[in-house]
Amino acid sequence: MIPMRKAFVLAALLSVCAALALAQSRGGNWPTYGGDAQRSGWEGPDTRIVKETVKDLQLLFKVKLESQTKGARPLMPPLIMGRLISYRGFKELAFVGSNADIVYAIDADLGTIFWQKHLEYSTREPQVTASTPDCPGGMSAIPTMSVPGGAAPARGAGAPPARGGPAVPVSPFIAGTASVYAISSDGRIHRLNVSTGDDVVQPVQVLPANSKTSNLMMVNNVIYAVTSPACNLTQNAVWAVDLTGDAPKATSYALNAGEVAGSAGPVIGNDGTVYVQTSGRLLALSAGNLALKGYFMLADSSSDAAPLVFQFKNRELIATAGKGGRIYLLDSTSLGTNHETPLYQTMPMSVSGGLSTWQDADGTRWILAPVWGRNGTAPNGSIAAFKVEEQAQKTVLTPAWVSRDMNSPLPPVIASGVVFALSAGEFTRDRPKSGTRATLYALDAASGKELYSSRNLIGAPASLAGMTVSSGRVYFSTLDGTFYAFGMYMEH
Amino acid sequence: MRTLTALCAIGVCCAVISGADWPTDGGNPQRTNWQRDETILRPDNVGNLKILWKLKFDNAPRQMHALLPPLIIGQVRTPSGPKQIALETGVSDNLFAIDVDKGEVVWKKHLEYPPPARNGGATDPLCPGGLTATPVIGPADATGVRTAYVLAGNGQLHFIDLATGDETASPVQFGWPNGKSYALNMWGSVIFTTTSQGCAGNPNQMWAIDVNDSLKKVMTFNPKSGGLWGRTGAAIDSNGIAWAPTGDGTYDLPTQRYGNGLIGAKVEGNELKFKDYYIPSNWAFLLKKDLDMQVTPAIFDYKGRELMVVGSKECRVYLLDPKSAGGADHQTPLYRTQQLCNEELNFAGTGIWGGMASWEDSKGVRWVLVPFWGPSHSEFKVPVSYGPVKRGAVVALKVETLNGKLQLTPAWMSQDMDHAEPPVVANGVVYAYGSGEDTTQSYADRGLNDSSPLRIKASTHATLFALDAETGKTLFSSGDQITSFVHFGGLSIANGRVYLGTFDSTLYSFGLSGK
Repeated sequence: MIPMRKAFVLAALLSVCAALALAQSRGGNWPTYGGDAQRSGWEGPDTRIVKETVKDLQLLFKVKLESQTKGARPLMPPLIMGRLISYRGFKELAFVGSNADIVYAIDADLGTIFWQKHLEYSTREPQVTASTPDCPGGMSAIPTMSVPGGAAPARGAGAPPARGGPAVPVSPFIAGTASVYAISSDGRIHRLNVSTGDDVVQPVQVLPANSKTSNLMMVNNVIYAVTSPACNLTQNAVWAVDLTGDAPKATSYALNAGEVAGSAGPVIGNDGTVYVQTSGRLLALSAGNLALKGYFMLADSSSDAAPLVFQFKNRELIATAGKGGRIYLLDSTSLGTNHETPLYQTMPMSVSGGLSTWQDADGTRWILAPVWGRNGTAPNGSIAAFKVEEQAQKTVLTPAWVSRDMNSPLPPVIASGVVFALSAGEFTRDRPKSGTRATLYALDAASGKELYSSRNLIGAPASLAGMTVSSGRVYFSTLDGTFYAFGMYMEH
Repeated sequence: MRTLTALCAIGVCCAVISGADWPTDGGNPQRTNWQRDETILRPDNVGNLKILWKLKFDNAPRQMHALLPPLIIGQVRTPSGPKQIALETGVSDNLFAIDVDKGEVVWKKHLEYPPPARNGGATDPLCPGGLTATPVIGPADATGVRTAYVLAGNGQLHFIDLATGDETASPVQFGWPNGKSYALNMWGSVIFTTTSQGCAGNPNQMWAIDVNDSLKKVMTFNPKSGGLWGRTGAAIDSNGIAWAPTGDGTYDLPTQRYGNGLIGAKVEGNELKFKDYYIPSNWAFLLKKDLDMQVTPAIFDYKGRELMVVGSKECRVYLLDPKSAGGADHQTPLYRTQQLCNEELNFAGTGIWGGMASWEDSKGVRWVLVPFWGPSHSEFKVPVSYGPVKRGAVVALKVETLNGKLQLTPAWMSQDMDHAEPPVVANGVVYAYGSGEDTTQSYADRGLNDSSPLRIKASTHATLFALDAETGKTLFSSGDQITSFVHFGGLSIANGRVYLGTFDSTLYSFGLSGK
């Protein structure tokens, strides 16, 4: 019998036990795409993933979920809630969004559906059913949970009071227990009960219906997103949806005509600055009100990558990639001299989808880039690893290794010194070749050496939406609507 | 005829007066919950059970706790003559000695002490404070005195003459105030208890004290787990090893952590020495799901070999050899059942809670009785059952040998019961009860919120059942005669009477009219 006191005891036990199943760094949570506000893709140490034993990775389960056969991202990588003490027991849940406007909660231990919630289309504007590669339709934004980090935006009336101050009504969109937030294809924001999937509060329209919305990021009770390209004639814009008032309040920053952003969505700096990568610029916007703080002009156009924000020797650096495609290294305090000159830029390579970053035990900061096309000895695609280093008083990216050959790799995720890379299959502009299939690899993060391959265990090409790693499991999905979990076996 | 009636009456009276005891929670140190000496209640007459009397005591509940299972001594030499005495204990440090033939209180006693500085949470059902350990009654001494050993809520062990309520010696400290000790057990002159949940800062460990030790040294062994909360404390095998489940926690041999398992310790000299342990091979999963090992084991003889059964909230039953629990790796039981219940793997309101029972029939068949809460597992098949089980049931397993290997073979599953609690068995009849307790700890809208007021409000009432021990068929149900629920109470049985205390501090005595 375990109420609060025992839950605390259990939590303490969990936290001190190196042999336990839960990852320690995030408490087993992966609350947003990329794992954190900086979208690093790095879990940190995971007690169940060990370089020496990752060869024993297994396909733990796969679940067929309802999705629409359009676009290259029918199912989304899950958010992970490492421990929910629910009315149905202690659960580790994986929340999976589907372009069919469904959010699933999967019991990550059992591989069963815990609940599913269809987000009804409910707005005056008719639902667009046509689908194009750029505007596939349906729910496109990976949901989010509240993500730690980032300074709180300045707010006027309605801001939460300081401790001891007068009581202020708390918005029903944030009061109470943890929730999953999703924006459905009708542009309404849903706050979902993690135990049941029920709407905690009546959904409210905050974005244009039928727009293509980037992955969501929720920091300090504000949800950030980007709508782009201009599907259904909606404007390309960055959005901040403030949940602290009586009703959600949306603020936008309009992008220039023709300026589009990728699906990865905004990332958040340590001071709360919102960074968005568009086809021509890296934007730095103020938290909450989205005022333009600065920008960097990319020499490459048509980037769909998301930037990275990370600490390096007491500085906050930003790495971003142009599809053309170089990787640019910037200092967050300046964003490049004259908006054009970065700290460093690599030679061109075709980076797709976004970067990942991690730091090893020696303090070395690594940048990982998924490269589509030839790179060194990998003819079709690869993961390229760089070290961030100081050379001659300059900050540079030093090539470290290039992985084995892969097809259309996704942005990798990292845990315990192991890089998980997903070769999505042979794609041409988001369209898979017939008969191609995905392969999951585990690589030594220090050398790129292959430690594990799923070989033919995956039956279809991967959804390009991305991957998740948490508590000894790696998650992704395939275009046929199958959700996969690979991981280290735990006896039930 | 009149003479015959008189002789019969005398015979029954003598049988009662010199009859059976229930001197400890679970009936005996092995915690089998088997009353071997019952002669009055039988399968063919137990359908006529009725409430012989009920007594409402002046005992304030603490959180959800109220009354502990009464202890019964068939013959106690009291100042007013020999009596069959039931010693009822209330969580607010109250003792009531009852003349069970009359249904009257012979003496009562309140154990006084200054309020401890440390308490549990205001609405926390886990740490109620007060007297939480069922006492134990020792054998008669040379003068015929039966001493009741009572652990007060301030952690002091009292020595009380069952006949008078007088203290026969000064109390000694045997634990921390409000430390939530579990039922006392006694082996020779050594008294054992266990503690859990770190209530009021009390360490979670096994405790022992030798009442014959002039220094009354307190001996402990700490398995570094979440708590040893088997309802009836430790069970003791024929070698004097006390076995207790360790609740949740980590299994890590280098740091001597034995969470989610079962430990055995024995008093040697003036030390409580760790002897053996069993850890289920899926302990990490059990820990993750909070499916504690929290069932007091039952220890019994099977064809000349001592065996032990234990279970958990996961709702499996493990058959173990006390001489080598879990074998060389401490993780290999003699037999492990499938899940009987808890398909959802919920930490609250499902699984095996409290204890089990075991008995042997006249044909030498050894039975194990397993209570559980919640629905039966959809894949658990049993030859005899009595309709869908949604809220709980008692399952009977037979200990059998097949191809040289021991196994637990499902025999029957009872009718549905609202939170089936540990049964007792006597003379071919199994007595079980649904507690009627609300065990919700987490809510769909609020999440975790284990609150006594909420649970008390949602609780209903207990129901006593008598089942045919061979078939599980219901022979008697108390229906709605019991008007309150039971939280962490228990059944006692001796000399034709079945006892159950409820949250409203009422003790019910069921029996046959005129017997």
